[in-house]
Amino acid sequence: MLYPFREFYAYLHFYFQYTVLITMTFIKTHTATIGVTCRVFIALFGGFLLANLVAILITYWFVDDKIDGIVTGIMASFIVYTGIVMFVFATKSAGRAAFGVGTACLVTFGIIFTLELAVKR
Amino acid sequence: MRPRFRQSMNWLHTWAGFAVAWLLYFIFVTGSAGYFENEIDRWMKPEITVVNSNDNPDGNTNAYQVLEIAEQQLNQLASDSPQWYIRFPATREPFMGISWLQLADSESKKTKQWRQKSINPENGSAVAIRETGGGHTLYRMHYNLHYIPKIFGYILTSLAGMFMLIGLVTGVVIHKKIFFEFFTFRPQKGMRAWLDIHNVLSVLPLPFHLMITYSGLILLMTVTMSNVIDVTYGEGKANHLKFYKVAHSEIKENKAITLLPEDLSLKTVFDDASTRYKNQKISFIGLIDRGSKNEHYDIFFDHFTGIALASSVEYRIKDHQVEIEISRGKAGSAARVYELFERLHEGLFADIYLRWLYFISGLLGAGMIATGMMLWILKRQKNACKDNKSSRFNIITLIEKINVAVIIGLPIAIAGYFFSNRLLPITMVNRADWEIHCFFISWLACLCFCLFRQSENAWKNMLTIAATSYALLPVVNLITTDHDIISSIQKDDWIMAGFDLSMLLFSAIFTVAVLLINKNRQHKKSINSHLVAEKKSAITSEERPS
Repeated sequence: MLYPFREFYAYLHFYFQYTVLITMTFIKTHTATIGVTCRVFIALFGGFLLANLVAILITYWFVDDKIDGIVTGIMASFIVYTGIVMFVFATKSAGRAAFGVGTACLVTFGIIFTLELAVKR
Repeated sequence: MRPRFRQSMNWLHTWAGFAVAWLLYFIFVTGSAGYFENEIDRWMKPEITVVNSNDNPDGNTNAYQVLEIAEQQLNQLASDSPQWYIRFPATREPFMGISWLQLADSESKKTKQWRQKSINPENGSAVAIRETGGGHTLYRMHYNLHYIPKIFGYILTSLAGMFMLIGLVTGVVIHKKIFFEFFTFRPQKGMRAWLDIHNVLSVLPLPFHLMITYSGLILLMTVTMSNVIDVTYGEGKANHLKFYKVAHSEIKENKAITLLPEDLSLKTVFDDASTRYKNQKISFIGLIDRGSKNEHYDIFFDHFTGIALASSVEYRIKDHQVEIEISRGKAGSAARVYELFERLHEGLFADIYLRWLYFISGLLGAGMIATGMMLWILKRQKNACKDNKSSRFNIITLIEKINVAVIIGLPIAIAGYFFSNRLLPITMVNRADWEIHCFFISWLACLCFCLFRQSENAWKNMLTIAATSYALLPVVNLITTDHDIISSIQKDDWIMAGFDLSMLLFSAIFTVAVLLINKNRQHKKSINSHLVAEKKSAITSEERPS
């Protein structure tokens, strides 16, 4: 009686494989749709995140007048957002779009982080 | 996305536009109506008596009279109100009136709200104005979307604006020969004709479209991009308030004047301001924070020269002396840039001609969105024809029907709003709210109507309804009030007459559209019958030899 639920495991295994199969076929038949959906999400949320990060980055440029920095940053962010969305839908694959936006986010965040550290010192 | 950059931009243009087309159409139409906010307001308050200040050169004595009446009325009606305003005839609002902030009172079931009355300078009586949403509610709808919470309205509008900006930029990108295509028009060619008209409507007012979209985004930027403020000022309302306080600080000039503190009254303030600023007309006098330490008088001027809107002067008592405070505009450059965009967007500086240009540009924008939507539908119908897929339930047909209900239904709904202003009982409870309900009810009725019609018939019927309802507006105005076009013109009441005439103009435009559709259909029919006749003759000639 090593495996009291042997049948159960077998079923589980079967269902697991079945789900994987279904998912794979779904992905294969709906590649385009999935790609577009991914792009839409990347553009909407990734774009919003990146536009915010760029706006925040711009605020650091204005040392003596914070308000000017904030307003300039936000005003630029709308144009940046437009650019990002165009990039997301122009690249060859959704993966590349995600990679591009993700990297840009990380880089801007890194710069902001170091700047923040420098300001605190 | 697609093999070529331009193709993928085309895809983005199509779907970004489709996603928010109806919302954008709503925003553009109601926003355009907002350029005539004051004029619509005047039409919706027919009790107001118009004053022509040009008629009497002895303006000041008349003003004293009005001040006296106004003060008397305000003392009677609003003795406990903290804020009083007295309105003098201005360029866009040539009438006198009083308004005050009514405080909430649980005993008499009063809610906190602004109340107003018009003053008839001829007999010195205060006339009650019907409760109405006016042009203000109609114009505010284009960014708060009325029924949903304000914040969602702002965010949705901004999102639509963002899509619009993307649509504009991609639209410019996908047209290789934008200048050449601007001069191309191929009528009677189905989809090509729609494409050409779409191009004209987009390219001709392109600077306006870019300006209005970008400035619209900037007007709501503190809502949508509040995270950026969070980073410097911290989260929460209190912290943001600090930001606004610093950002909106104004340059103010204070100086003491010879007026004695005990003499300070509405009349002396009016006198002093009108002698101090001889070339400017006073449009408002406010008595703010009555009965408190901070009680002061506020004077607003009516001037529309240049891009700047009316400036204000404050009179207050400080250290036993009367002091005036003159506003010299915003201090920070950021606030000034924001103000510039705000003024460009609202166009309050515009005189009547520029105002019409603003309005027409706005409607061209609405037309651009509508033709874009038409193109989307036509293209899909054409593809469906090619694929020869015909099912009983067709999503494209449904979208086409809703499209008619939105594009022609919205003007009808606005007409319904105007009708409700005249036809709802004047003593009705929550009358202003019900006017807006009427707006949306008539729109919903249009939608239901369109869903049960074939789209071709729906176009024609809806246009006919629109033409009739706009033609009926001046008639209803004539019946329910004593303002008909001719007597309005005779009384020099050009705002009332202009509104009625514009309604007739819109009616004429809709009528022309109906006639064009009819002509087009007859044209198609004659071609079809021609073809059928040819076929028949071909068949009979074939049959003959046998």
